[in-house]
Amino acid sequence: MIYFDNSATTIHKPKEVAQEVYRGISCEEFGNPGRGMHGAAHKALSQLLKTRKAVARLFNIKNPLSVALCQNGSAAVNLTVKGLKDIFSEGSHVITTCFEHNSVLRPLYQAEEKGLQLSVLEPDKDTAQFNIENAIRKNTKAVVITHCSNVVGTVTDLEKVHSVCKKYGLVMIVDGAQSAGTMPIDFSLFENSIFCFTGHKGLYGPQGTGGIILNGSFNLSPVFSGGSGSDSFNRNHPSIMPDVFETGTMNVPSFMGLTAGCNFIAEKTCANIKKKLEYLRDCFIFGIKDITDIKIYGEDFDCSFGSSIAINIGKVNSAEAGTYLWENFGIATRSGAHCAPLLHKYFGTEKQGMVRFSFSVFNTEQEIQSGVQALHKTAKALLKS
Amino acid sequence: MQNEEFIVISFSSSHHAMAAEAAACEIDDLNGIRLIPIMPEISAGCGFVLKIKPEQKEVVIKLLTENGIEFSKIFLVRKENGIKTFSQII
Repeated sequence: MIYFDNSATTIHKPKEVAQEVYRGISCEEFGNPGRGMHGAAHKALSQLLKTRKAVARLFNIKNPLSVALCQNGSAAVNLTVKGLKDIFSEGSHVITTCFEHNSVLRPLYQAEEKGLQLSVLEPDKDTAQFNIENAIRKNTKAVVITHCSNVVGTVTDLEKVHSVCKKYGLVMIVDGAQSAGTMPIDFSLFENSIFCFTGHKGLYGPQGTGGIILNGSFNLSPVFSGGSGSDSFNRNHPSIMPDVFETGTMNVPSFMGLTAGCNFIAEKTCANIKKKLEYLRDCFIFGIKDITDIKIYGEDFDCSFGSSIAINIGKVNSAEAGTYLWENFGIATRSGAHCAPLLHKYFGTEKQGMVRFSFSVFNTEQEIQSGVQALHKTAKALLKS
Repeated sequence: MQNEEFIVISFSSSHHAMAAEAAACEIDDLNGIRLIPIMPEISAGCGFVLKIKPEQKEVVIKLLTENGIEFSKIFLVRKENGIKTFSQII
């Protein structure tokens, strides 16, 4: 198999990730974090702090307690949207974009049903950036924006978005599901901002890991309530970070794996990872651009790109192309709709879908060349039929 | 019975308590500082308190503040003839 579905999840992980997850269970040393004074509970609590430190280091955040851990990117965005009640409330206005994943859109739609006013922006046709300033109203409270499109790979210029947010006193909430680990991010630059991430993609952690990074002070409410290991006689779940977003027993072995993933990236450096992913992407595009009737979505945007490339071959259904690639060449891509419905509407691919190729730092140039050849053959075969 | 005087710092979150212990462990002068079970006489959030020497108080408070670690209360504990008395300092 040649695996080009890394924007869905990375399946080739650094060996240390698997070793740490295994150790988390097999060594029989990690108890329930913070529940009890014995060494096993203490060691588990200590491991969670290590995860927060590893995440904080990657994003240049000083205080690891500003990192709350959760299941994935969708959970992170839900906790943020539902936990910031002052912002996502009836009568408030929030700006988002048509390039968002459903992990952002659906929680916002839920808030909209409760009276939140929502503006959804389309990108500038040349730069793929969003004119936020034009959409600001008197009651605008926040901008919720993807850092990197999960489909076409366009990268949002966060510095520009943040400068507008700063000017108007808005909270910037970033969906970093695709960008975390794949490009350098100094989140300390973005005061009054929140970064939501998943652990199982570019951070090379296990599935079922993710988190929220706060840069600033926010009025937080718990979305879930339950065991916290503290303040037991309080009827309410704590509202202090990170406890406010962490309910019940945490997935310590998986977060140990995430720590290893973050450490792997820190060693490689995000800058070098970005360079390699850009190289693979460029090689792939160079190899496929001459295919008859190929459409590379977003190719003309003058912006940075992550590792995702979305294509179609003529009017061939994307699912048919994806299946052909898998069945004839063992190439794993993602076809169909990509949990980003407004992006498909923007590009007019609601019915056809798109075939997405997405790379990881473990992909090789040889695999890229095999993918290129396979796509040439696939196009030839499917355009004929 | 040996008499003893020390300070305990309580936290409303076990994560903050753990971060406090870890931060203290990174400083040579504070080596040996550790979390201990909370005493029933102290009403506080999490099950741990950080036990320190009285002379370490200022350094530790500075350390917690610099690291964004939130504590609840600080008590001076006097243990005389097996009886503990608690005076809240902060």
